[in-house]
Amino acid sequence: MHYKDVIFANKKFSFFANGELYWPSKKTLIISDLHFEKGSSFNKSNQYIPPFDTIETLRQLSNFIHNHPVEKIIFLGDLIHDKLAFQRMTAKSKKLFFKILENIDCTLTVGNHDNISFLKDIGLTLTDKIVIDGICFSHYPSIDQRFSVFGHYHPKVKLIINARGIWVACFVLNKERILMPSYGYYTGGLSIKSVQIQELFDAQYEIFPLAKEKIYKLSLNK
Amino acid sequence: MWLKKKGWSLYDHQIETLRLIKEGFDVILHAPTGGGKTIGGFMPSIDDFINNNYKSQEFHTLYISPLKALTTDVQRNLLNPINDLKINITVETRTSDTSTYNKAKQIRKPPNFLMTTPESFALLMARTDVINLFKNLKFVIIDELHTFFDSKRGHLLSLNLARLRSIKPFQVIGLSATLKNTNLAKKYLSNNKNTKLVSTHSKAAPEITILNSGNRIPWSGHSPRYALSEIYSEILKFRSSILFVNTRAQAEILFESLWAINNKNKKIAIHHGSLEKELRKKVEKEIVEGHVECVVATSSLDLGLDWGNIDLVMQIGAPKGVARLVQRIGRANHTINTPSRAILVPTNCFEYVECIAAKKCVELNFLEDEIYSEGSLDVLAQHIVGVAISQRFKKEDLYKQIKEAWPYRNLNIEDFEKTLSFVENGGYSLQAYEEYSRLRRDGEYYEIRDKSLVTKYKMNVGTIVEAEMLRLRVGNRYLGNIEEWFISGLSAGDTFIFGGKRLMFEKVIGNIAYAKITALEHQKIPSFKGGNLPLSTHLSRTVRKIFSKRLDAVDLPDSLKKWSELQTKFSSFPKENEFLVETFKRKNGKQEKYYMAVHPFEGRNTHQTLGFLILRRIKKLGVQPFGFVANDYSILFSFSKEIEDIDFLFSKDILIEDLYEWLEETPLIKRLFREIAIISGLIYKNLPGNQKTGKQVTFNTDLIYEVLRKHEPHHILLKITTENAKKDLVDLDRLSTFLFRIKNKIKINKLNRASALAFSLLFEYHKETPDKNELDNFYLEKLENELLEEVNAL
Repeated sequence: MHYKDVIFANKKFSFFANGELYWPSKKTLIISDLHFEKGSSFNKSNQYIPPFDTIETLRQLSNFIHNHPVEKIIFLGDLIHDKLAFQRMTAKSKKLFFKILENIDCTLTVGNHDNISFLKDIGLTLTDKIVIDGICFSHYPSIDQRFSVFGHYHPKVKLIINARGIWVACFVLNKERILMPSYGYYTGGLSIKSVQIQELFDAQYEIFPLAKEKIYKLSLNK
Repeated sequence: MWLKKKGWSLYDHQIETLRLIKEGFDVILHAPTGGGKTIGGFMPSIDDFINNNYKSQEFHTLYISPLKALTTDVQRNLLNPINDLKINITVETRTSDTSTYNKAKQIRKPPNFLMTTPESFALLMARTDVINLFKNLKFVIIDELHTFFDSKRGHLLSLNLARLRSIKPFQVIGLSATLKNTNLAKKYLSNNKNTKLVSTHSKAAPEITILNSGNRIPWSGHSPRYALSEIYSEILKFRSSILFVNTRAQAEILFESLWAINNKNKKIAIHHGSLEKELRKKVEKEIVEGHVECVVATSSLDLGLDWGNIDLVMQIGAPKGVARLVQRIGRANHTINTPSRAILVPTNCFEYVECIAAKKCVELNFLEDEIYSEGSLDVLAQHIVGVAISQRFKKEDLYKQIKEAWPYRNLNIEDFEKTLSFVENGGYSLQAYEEYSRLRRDGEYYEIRDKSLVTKYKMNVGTIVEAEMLRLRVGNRYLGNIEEWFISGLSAGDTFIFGGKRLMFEKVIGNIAYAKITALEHQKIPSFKGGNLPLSTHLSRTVRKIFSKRLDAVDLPDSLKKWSELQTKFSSFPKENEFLVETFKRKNGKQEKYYMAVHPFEGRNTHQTLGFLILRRIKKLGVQPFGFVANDYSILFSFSKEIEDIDFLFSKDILIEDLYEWLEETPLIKRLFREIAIISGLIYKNLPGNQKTGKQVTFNTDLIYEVLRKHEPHHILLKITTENAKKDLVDLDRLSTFLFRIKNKIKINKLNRASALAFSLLFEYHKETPDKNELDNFYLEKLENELLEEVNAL
């Protein structure tokens, strides 16, 4: 699988083309904004989107775990799209998910979509944030911390190819912060040029667009 | 009789229509523009109204037109005789422009004659009181009938007519000015039951000329610049004129160039479908009132409005189809007995030949057969929701009724059931969405589960899915709609032209693109894609014929003679049933490339597909292909070494082996899927509440398509996509006819330089490679001269 190594807080991390952040020395995988059952949530408005997003996301995750040593997973929030997501999940998806929870130490830093009462007692550690070696992992940016890894914004960037713009998800990185792309199949995104993201990366930063199973690197100066 | 009393002079075809209707037939009235067709269509209604002395406020006649603008126009034209006759017939229009208040009023007190569109008609049919509403309906009039045979709008209309017929039988009158296959028209209109044709021709044949320019006609490109001054002097000769072009981009360029030389201050305007509605209406009004003397227009002015004061029509660029040209020419001189005057302006040598062919066909009244299509299932899905909203139904009854709609006569029960199950809750084999399904079963009956569906249906009815558009705002005004993909390719500060204005792009917020007026040059022009109609099969055959007889048979301007001589000198023209393949090599910088130019004359769509398929074959032969370009006439390939087995490239089995692989890869199919997802109601474009916030529901339909293919490959929407693709993207019929036609008829000319025919593509091939900033006219002219020199043409 295609990836790029980066140094963040003096430690080596890898950005993977599907949106995984991997910390090899800790055998830790960080993924963000899975939004389980986003597709099926639209049934309320009679839009019957093919209900296969959760299984797609989980298969991608299983595939990663299968190919890399993973002892710990940090879900950076918005694991589920709405509180009834587990009810709508298919048996196949549930089985796959619970198998991961059984075998690997999983932590969820709770996001705005995560309804805690539905996520308790399923083998997930629930917390607001988790700090490892001085790096703070949380759903929202932890601006009071020196090093913060977070999700929530679903960053995307416009690449102009053959005079046409295409939007792709991306990692955003500077010396203090990593903004994670969303890992869910149907999730949309927010342009990295939007005020909310620009506020967080006001100094020099790099973006890592994910396109067609490859990851690229662009440096941007403001 | 009332007609005689008024002393009207009537056309024979109007009297004949009236007679046939009185005898109980359905009628197709085929008469040229300006021939009193519309009045003819309403004559039976007026007659019936007078004879029976109706008093009540009920729907009596329904008039359905593909154009909103036409409904108001016809209403106006009808009110004159009605007021003349002093009869009390109420005539109103009902379209998406009609206010909610007026719509409600029309239900309380229905007008006798209602002018509407297929979409507004579908909405009426979805009302719960539909049976009561139409209980005294007598006539349905369908205008521009030919536009419905091969369109999803036509499918929608046919379904609703079939349903209306089961509610209340009526007589139907179809109107059209261009109709070739009248049998087809009869079938579409009323399943061939009791339909009679009334047909009349214009007494005066149109006068068509091809513009003779003193300047050299370019070998390639689509610019009328070489003839600009002649075009301008023609405009000056006439009081009012329409200049038709094929794409919006051409309209913008021509409009700007004309104004640049407009020293006589002729009032020239521009009209295309993407302009803001108010701006378009303003232009239309100014034409009617004579304030505008010349309008540059795209197909947005092809149909409809009876202006009656246009003296000249110019067709700039290839006509592409005979019927289309007839329709356009018909815009001039809206009276039946005076000839329409038209000038054709080809923009390159190929187009010149096409113009000769088109002129000949028009003069011989040799039109294309209309194409018709099998009813599409995405439209059916939308219709089923409409039916369910109106009244509960039994499955068997609905199936029977749908098959009465001619485009759906072959619908099999499996497809019907799959579509129905899709409407219920998505139709996935995994029963995921039962809880919130649209329909609920009550014994044998299907009915809607809750009322919220009504609003969603109303907000999303229709079959025209435009590319994702942004509204274009300059200062505090909206200029129109512009393709999202076009804007997405711009960066702030880039300039482009729209609606005849030079603009500088600023930013996009929500679904609004902001720009400001600029004086800077170097514009990009929005959308070369839209309106690129392929050459019709029919016209293509005539073009081939002209080429096969060698061009010396026809009277040509000098620059074309030169072109023709060069082709004969270095290669040859294809004989009528011959398929010409030319190969040559060229140095491109340091690299030597092999080229193969083929000339099927089958239209751009077919060539695009063929191009991709042949490219795959070239790879199979172990040769590295560099790419291909295609236009309406030819395809040019380039690759790394010589190919020996050219017959292998064009053998018929490429359709079996490679076509499906290609179909799954092409991005075009995803665009098609998006359209189908929206029409069928998989996703809604508009939801209550979203319009106010300007938020659009933008699902990434590409993702949906991918995941569906992976997990549910037999899903009905994928089936519809493939069917649609075979017809619209690939034109499979045309492609296989072509491959069959050329079998054993391939003529290979090995050349040591590009031929005249290959040249235009060579030019396009090079045009695609340079930096886009260089792609201005200067660069292109230089390139053309270089290439011309190379083929010894200067």
